[in-house]
Amino acid sequence: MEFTYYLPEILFGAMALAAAVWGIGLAMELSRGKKGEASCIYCKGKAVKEPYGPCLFLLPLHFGETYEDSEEFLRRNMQPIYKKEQIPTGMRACWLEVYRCERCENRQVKITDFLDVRGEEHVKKCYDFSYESFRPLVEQWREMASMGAFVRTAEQGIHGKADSRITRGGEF
Amino acid sequence: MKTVVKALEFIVVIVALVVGIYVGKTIGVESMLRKNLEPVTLAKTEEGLPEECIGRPAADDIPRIQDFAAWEEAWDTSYITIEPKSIVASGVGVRYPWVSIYNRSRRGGQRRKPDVINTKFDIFNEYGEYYLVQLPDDSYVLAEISLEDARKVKAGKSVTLPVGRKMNSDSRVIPNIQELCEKYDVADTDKVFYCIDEQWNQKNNFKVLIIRFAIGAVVVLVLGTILITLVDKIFKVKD
Repeated sequence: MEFTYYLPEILFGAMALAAAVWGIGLAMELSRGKKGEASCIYCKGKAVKEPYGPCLFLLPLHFGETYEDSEEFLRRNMQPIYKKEQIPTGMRACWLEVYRCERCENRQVKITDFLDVRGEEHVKKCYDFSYESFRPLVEQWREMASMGAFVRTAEQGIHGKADSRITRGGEF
Repeated sequence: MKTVVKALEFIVVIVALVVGIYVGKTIGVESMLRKNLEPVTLAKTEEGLPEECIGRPAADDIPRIQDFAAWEEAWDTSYITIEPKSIVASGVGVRYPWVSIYNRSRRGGQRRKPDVINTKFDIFNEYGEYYLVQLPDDSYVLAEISLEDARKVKAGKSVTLPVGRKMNSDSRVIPNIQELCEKYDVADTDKVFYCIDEQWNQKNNFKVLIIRFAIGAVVVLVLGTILITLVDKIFKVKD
């Protein structure tokens, strides 16, 4: 009797609780994002950036082109590049940053798909994936970096903040 | 596979909408807002105006209608209440007096709302449903009571309905519920027990509607998101 009577209230309570939990999670994620951290995709703990990168990759996409199964698509199509000037006009690129969880020690990558318009990055989408899928790409990028093709410091951000040794135009 | 997932997503959105409308329509918003209303005593009914008494909580000294004889004896001007044993919904409702008669149409004109409606289609609670309430002597009388009170009685709660009066039943409703009345042996279809608080409803109608809409929207959004995520997880859909 009580259950059927309170069913609408129970349903609303459950939905409100779910919304509150989701809201708290989102707020935590935003606050971590502001500090340059991320939430672990495995345990929701605090994940901090690895002291290298962000790595820049070219994507074979124009303007508003879309793709499905983003993990698979990105893994197969990302091509390492070392400066934004290598992005052909109208083509998309992405930043890849590696994070390590302080709690479970697992690594993950954050990929920011963007379109560069006159030096300004228009972010299309951000993704969090497990590190293992992108390990070969990260290793390839780091190998190129260690060969001296390009260097970036750990503390530099993405979205237009360049290394002190790289001019605004992208030259060393 | 993709079509199946899309179809399932469509279905879960419809499910979320239905649940959202159900929750938004039936949740006890009025009872939350009317918590602090003082019960109306017999003394107050003698000095107060009808609109200040009808639909308000009944104090212990308000006469209870125990049987059909008492119902027949009650005057139209008497303030009475009922402690129903059970309730049967008729599914037919009549437009509340505070609800506007006209709907604005998209072309700028006005369209008249129906006076009587099947309450299944009354999403905005603009119609008061007619119920058959069972008196303690097992006889049935017609009643127009709030959705909230009806829900309490349906759930088997012991309820004292608010203060009300015998009123003439709506002649447009009765032909629609004639069969039901015959089935439950309703001897008096000319009179209806009316206990809707018009004054309070007129004042708070918009507030209640907004709260109901907000509650419904929260349920639709959250439940829809949860169900779509579940479908995507089950079918391993990747964005």
